[in-house]
Amino acid sequence: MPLKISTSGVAALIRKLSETGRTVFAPVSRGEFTDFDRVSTLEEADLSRVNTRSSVKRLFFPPTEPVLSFALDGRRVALDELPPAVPRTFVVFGCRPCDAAALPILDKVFSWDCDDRFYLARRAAGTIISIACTDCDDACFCTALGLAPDSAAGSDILLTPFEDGYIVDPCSDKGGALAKACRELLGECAADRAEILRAVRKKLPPPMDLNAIKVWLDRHFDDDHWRNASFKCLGCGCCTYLCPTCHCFDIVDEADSRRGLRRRNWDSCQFAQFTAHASGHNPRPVQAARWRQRIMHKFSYYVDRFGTRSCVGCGRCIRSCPVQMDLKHQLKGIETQARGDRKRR
Amino acid sequence: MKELQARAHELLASGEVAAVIGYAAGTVAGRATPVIITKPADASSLILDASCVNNLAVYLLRPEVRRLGKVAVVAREAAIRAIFVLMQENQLAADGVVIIGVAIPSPGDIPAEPRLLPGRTRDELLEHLKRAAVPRPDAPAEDETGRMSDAERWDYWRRQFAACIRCYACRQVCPMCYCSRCIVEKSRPQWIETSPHERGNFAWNITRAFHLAGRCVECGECERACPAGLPLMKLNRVLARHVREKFDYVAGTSFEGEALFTGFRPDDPDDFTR
Amino acid sequence: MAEGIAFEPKIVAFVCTWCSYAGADLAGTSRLKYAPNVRVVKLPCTGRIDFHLVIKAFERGADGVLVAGCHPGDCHYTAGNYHARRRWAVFRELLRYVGFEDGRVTFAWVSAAEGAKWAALVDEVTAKVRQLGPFTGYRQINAAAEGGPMQ
Repeated sequence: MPLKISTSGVAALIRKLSETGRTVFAPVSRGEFTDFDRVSTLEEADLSRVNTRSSVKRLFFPPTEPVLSFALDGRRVALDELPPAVPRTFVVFGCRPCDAAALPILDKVFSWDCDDRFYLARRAAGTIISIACTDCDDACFCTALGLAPDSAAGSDILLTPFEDGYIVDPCSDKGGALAKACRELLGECAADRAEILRAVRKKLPPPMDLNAIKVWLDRHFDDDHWRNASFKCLGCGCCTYLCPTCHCFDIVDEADSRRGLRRRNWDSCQFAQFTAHASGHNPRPVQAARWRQRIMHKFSYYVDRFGTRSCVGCGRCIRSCPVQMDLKHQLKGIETQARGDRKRR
Repeated sequence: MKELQARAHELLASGEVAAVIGYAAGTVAGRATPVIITKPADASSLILDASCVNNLAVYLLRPEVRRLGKVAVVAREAAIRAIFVLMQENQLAADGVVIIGVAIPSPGDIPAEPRLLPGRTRDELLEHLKRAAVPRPDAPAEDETGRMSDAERWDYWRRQFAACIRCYACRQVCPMCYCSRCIVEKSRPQWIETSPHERGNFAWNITRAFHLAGRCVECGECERACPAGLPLMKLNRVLARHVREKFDYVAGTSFEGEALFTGFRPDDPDDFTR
Repeated sequence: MAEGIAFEPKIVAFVCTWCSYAGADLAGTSRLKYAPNVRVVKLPCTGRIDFHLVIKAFERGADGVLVAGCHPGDCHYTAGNYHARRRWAVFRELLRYVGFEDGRVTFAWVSAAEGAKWAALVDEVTAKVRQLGPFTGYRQINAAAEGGPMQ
């Protein structure tokens, strides 16, 4: 019999977590949208939206963080490697399955050629409690990428809305341990998951032929397609910054004549100066090249390197783009061309 | 809409312009999207309705568009003013662009239909701007910060700027932000810190607001694009008001005299210097 | 701040070479006594002042900023101070709007002959900023910036 928890059980869980010194993050209202913030009670959370404006990646890979401090010490320079700023342990409540699925994707690049101790320390300290989606909007397309409104990837516990509470599915050792620790709040239920998710599944798009898309991408690096597809893109960082899998960063030093901090900040491949060299040369001098990079990185290069796409279909890029560079639409266009190519071959 | 499509068709078919920048139906329901068409047959894809909000003047200085030669652009009032500012600042030749002026009424306006403006020349469009009492986009009933103390206002703006993630959507959607290298991208020295912490965000947002003083046409795109919900138009409106009150200057409404900070008068207001 | 030590404001002054710096110099050669709180940054002309200089001064701990140049009509470069004055008229409104207290930034005309005016001006600005107190608003922004990611 699947486990369940009532809404008041959830409220008690959040209270208990806060009281035992664990920071709880949940979506909180910011007027027109929600974003993750600390809560100490369930009442403070706003779970009514399809998703938060910016993604859960902020809690593991923040927009800015100091990594090193340095100071003049007589004639020496004293360097201090800073520890990652991590709440001792924390729980993310109310994450969507798409955001949760982004974390194992990010894990790969952050433990690739070196272990990013900042990101990994937060991953170790964090527990993800996701809530499956019973609704979506026009921008959602997780199913096109092989995910689902109740995907378990990346979650430690997946909650599925049911009656006056949720079905509880521990998905990892961490989740299992947490479920055990609060077993007095859990009960049992008989639930028809398919029924609960039937409505939202109808609205979500069918799977795309991602392999065909990759083949097309690999064959069409130099193609007029990119110029046409990218015309209206204005090169802001909205899509990349709100994206749960985008991870480019810049390292800057902020100092005066005596001391300073080295920081790691979000950066975006869509910025004009992103690939500018010290020589003055810029290998991606036009938006077409930058837009191409975005698609290629997510749907080809990342696959080659790490065996997975770096997109979870959350749709934030589509919702936030000031000019509607609709990634889902663009992928469908490429898929159509790819299928056409295949027929012709 | 038909009138707009016909005009676009005429401009392309005659070869007067290489392309028309306008609005087409978006892929997300209820939102128009910018489009560039080069073939007369594509003129039928142009739309004109209340969802056509982007300020298309932003595309005029992009190298991809400049390379095409002379283009036409569908321009709402704020975009017309933006184009005039670009001309005044010598970024566009006086005959460097064909302006297809349009009016998209707000609910309750009369007439209620989106339509082409009758003016075609620069002077005709200027006349229209002078005569039309077009409501400001997204004008708030009042600015609540007006009732705050200094300390409260500081806290308010501190909170707003703290949310900024430095995506620069505000800058990228703005037709007035056309510097090939923005001040924040200059690193020798780095005057404005790029980090999205409070100090860097404060410097960025204040600097950008000031760089737009006397140039902002209040189209509202920056605030609409901002993913963090910063009330950027508050800053732009207050500066536009001061510029109007002190210098009788409204961006993009006149070609007489010099731009606000290019010119000066020996008797400029001076009630604040010691 | 250590106990028992009263707050002494740090004032950064951006002055033009030809008039205001010379005026400040005259105050010195005339042995005029005035508040020692000001740190002078010399520029060729007030017309050169970008406002990120003013913001940077506050970021680096200034409690007040003084900007001084030639009187209108007397600019060594003919019109630099006229341009500056226009910008100042607008920039100060922006600062006030986001909550800078009146008196944090002061604009003045000081000629090369006005050593006494310079001294009196610095005393006046120092007293005003001392009364306003440390610029805690900027201290808070700096602290938040140094404090690591906002979690």
